[in-house]
Amino acid sequence: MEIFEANEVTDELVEAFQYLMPQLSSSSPAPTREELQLIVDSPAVILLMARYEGKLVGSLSLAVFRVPTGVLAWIEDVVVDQSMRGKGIGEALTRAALTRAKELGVKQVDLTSRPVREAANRLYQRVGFLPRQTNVYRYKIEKE
Amino acid sequence: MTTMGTLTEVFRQVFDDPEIVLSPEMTADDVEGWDSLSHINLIVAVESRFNIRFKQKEVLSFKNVGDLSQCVESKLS
Repeated sequence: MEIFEANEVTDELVEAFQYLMPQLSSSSPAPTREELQLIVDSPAVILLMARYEGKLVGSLSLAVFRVPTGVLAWIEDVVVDQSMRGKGIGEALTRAALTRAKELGVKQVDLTSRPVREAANRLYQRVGFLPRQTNVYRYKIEKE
Repeated sequence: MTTMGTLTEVFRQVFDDPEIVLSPEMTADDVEGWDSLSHINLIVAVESRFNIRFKQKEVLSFKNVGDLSQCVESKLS
């Protein structure tokens, strides 16, 4: 297994998101090559990929941003190919994100995970994430 | 084999360099390609080889090969 930061958009990367995205969200289409380029070029997003036996099998996006209280980060869009779960790939991606975050001076890393994703919740707590005592809100912006 | 000997094998494999010779004082600056991400690849390989698990706090605290080796040994004893 190898974790690496995607710094360029290759055919392999585009193809990987075509099979990983449906496993992450049933409502979001896979990012286009151009959208992936925007992600890779963004100084605020670190796109981590996992390779296992030569194939891209997982991804994690780490968003890092400075606000008045310091440098914060969110982990988003963690996905591991269905057939590759249980091999520690998600955990390696998460640990890599935390290591990278520390390197960038991040003081805390947040994420959300639906309770129904039991394995993922166990993973995050195993790595050291603690539940927050706060309410998580979302405002959905309607398309006009 | 000593812990350092086994670690040397793991380092050689992860960094694809058969000439790596480890010493306790060695840091990431001394090994080509040892950055924050390959550090995780290294940690995963070390865990698998020794059949141990590091806490994330430990993973973030290793400053040199000696720290890593010491932590491995503490988990084996």
